[in-house]
Amino acid sequence: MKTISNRLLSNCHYIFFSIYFLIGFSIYKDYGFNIDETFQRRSGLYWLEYLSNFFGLEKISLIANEKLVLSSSFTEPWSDVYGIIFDVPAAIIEIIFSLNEPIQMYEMRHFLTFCYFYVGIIFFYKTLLNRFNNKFLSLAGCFLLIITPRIFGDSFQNNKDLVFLTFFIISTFFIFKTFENFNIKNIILLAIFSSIATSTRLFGLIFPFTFLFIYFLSILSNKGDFKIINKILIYIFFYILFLILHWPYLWINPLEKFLYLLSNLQTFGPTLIYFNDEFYNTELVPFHYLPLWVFISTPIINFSLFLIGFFLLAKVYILKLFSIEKSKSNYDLWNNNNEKKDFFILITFVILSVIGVFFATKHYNSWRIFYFLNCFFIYFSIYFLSLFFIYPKLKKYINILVVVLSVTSLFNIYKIYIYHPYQSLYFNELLSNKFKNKFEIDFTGLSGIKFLREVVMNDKSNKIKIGINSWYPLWRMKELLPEIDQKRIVFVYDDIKNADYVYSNKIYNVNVKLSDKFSLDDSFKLYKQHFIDGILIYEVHRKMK
Amino acid sequence: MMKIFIYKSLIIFFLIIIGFKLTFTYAQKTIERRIDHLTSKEYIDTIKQKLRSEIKNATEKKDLINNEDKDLLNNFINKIQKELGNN
Repeated sequence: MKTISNRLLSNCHYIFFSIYFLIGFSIYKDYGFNIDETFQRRSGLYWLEYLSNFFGLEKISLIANEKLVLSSSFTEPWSDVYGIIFDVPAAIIEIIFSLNEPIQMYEMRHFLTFCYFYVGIIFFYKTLLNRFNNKFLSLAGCFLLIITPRIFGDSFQNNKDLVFLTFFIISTFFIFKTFENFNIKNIILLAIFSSIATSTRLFGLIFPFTFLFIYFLSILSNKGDFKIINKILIYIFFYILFLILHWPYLWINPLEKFLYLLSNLQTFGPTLIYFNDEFYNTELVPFHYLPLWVFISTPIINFSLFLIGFFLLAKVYILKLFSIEKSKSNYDLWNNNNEKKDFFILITFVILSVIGVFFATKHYNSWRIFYFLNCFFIYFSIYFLSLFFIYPKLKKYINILVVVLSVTSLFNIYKIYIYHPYQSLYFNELLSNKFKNKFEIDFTGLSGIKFLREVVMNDKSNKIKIGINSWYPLWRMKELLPEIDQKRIVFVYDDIKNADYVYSNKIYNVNVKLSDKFSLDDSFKLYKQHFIDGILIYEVHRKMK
Repeated sequence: MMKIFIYKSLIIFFLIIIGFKLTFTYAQKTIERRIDHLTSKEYIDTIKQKLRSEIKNATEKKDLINNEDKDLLNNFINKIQKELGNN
């Protein structure tokens, strides 16, 4: 009996990851479609055509071009600056498996997003195990990250921010490996993954920056470290090399194009957001935008553990900083590799938070661009929990801790269940329903396909005229319906008065407190409002006959 | 000594940036937001609408100016005319 339980314990990570994969595999088709997906698909096809032309693969180039022409839409913005690490593999799979129905293409992309994140979670486990050397804590960390509702929901449809989170985690793992063993293999792997993180989101630049900064601090404490400068130069060389190699956008005039991208970040995204009951220009949001979003949409347990962990860790390094003169260690701020890893996490988190709060050129779509901060929240949480395994005084509380964690995790799971498949729109329990609705909710239009499916099911007319009373290209979702239903739906764009149904996900490009652009006349009556956990996801008005 | 100087410089640099952002940039952003609001199309349209409704209300009234104000304005204009006439 004991052997079985020992075996179970030693293989618990395999069980955990198998269950997680099965859950993901069984629900990935439930999710709505993110408005960015059509754009990202086009980006993948565009670069696939470019690459196949470059390498002389004519057949692939022709297919990609054909699909690219068919995918163009008059309302879609276009930019060739995005990295290719997700979009090109997705385009290749689409061609290899001859996925010609839009619904198949997008479901494949959702599954692929989940697979990327799944790999990210495995690396997160390895990262935590590398630092804390405790299987239970590492799995607890992965579990806390998975059951963070916004991350859970986005891991099935956000093929930008969650893909970045994945490469951020993998790069962190290799930076830890490099701290342990400064060999060429680890340096090159770090260069590869940190460059991929950079092409996915420019925040990836933090890796070379903090890596160099930590090296600078090493030299400051121990001048002998100067002799490994050649390895640092190797890292920089390979980082730049891989960045250019895997990012075709940089193949011609790389420096010029990179600087152009850095100086034009404000051109991406919407120009107006609804935040805390006010409309803001996205370039002029208040400093509390990011902290408030984190506070209201992170589960209470994650947020509480993170705060405690962060302050405890910050205290350690502040005390070290004030006693540098008395330090007898080889290095001023760390005594061993684990402390060096903690310092890396702390300094990276502080820098990214300062950038996010004070220097971000734009904020929009809640805080999805900063969702990668969740891996720091969990790291700090696990740091705090690890103290219970280290200090004898705290050890006796482990059972209580396990009970508290289990109950709160069950609560998170319950929330994931009731929000399904809109976990991406989660708000925590500290808020009243009224307050929750003072923020942008369905900003990626996940609910659009649900509305269309419902309307074609409930209305048997041959022609259903649909109007849109918000800033949302609902017509992009039409191709995801069966062909027979597509023919029944007619979108009325300017002539909304003639619509049978008017859909709104309450996302606007004008200040509706001052403008009547999105007001409806009396001939429309409220037909349906879809609420989850007190949050209005979308509403439908119907024309009175 | 050099080492301590560098650490202190880094901390002070960091604190100055945060301080600058919390004071100067905060005030600048608040003003920019206000200007952005006042010059937005929706706000200008609201003002136009308000003006239209005020003009409409005024034209619907029997008297635009009350008797007391009429006397006051009359006296004022007469006074100006008289003074200008003297020159």
